[in-house]
Amino acid sequence: MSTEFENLVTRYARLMSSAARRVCAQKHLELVPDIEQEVRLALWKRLQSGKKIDHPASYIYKVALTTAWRLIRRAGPDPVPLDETTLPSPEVSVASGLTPTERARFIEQALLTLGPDESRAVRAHLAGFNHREIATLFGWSESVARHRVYRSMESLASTFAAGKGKGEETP
Amino acid sequence: MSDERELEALRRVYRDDVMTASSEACPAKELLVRLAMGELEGDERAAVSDHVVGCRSCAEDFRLASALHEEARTDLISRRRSVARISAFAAAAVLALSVGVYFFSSSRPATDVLRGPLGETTSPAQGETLRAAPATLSWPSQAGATGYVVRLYGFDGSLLWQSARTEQRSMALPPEARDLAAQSYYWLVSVEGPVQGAELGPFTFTIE
Repeated sequence: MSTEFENLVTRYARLMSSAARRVCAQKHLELVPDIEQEVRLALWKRLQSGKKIDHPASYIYKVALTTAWRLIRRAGPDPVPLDETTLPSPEVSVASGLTPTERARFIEQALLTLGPDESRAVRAHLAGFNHREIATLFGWSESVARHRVYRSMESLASTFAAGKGKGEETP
Repeated sequence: MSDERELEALRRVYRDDVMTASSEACPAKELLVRLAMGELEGDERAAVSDHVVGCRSCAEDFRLASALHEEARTDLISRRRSVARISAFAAAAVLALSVGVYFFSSSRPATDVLRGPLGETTSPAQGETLRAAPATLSWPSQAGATGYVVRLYGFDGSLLWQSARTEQRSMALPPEARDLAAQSYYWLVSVEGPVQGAELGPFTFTIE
């Protein structure tokens, strides 16, 4: 097993290094040695468990990505946080005066009026994901993601408008 | 929904009041990485994606994995483009070199001298495939030529036969030079001129 491990490490040394550097890009280059070490460890554990590695290149990249992700998360604050700082804090006019639980229910009910893909697009958009991320999440093309977000947000706005109208009519 | 402030406020409400914190329902982190890499399909993808857009912790984890994967992908694409640019440059250089070699070789004085004034062609024709060795080799006559010498070579460059000097524009192959195996051959004609010599060819033929 040790020979198999050494062969694998020797054969894929350049790939490990390249995968680590690629995943870290320019921002996290200091993590490259740690990631390479983690990839070796993961290979060792995998071989020790008796599991085969069918596609070493893909496996190495995946381990590099997972390791980079884990090390960056462990290092401290999220370097790519959801964009909270730019969010203003006014009440949503359509749900103003409601408690958090009531607002959540109000939005959930509005989302229930949408189709499954529309609801997904809106949820992802409201969660702060951009079109590329939404496309990756649901396996859509970026243009489909953009179109669905646009159409779905329009539908949601109509739902809110209708709800608001009803609310105003209610004595 | 056109109001940007309204949208941002709605996002805050969604994040604070609708999305949940991490829980036991969260998928394994490896699944988030695989989702970011586009490896999940079907129901598994739908289940994990639907969880991600409703869970603050998994949303941030997915976003980081996706950003790392995108950076790696962009880096790879840019490296490939660099390689492609270098390859294109190398190809252009090879092409330029080939064109240069072509013009250099075609601008040799010998070739300029060697045009047949009456449109004569070589025999056998250039690149012709024959059943047996040709009885005669002939070439375009050259203006001002005072004599010709023909050399026949095997395809490995070995000299098989050299003619005596002749003033004719053809030469019969002697019997000893006609015992040729099935392979390709080339031949050259040295042209003697009043001032300088020149060379015709190489011409090739193949015995099948």
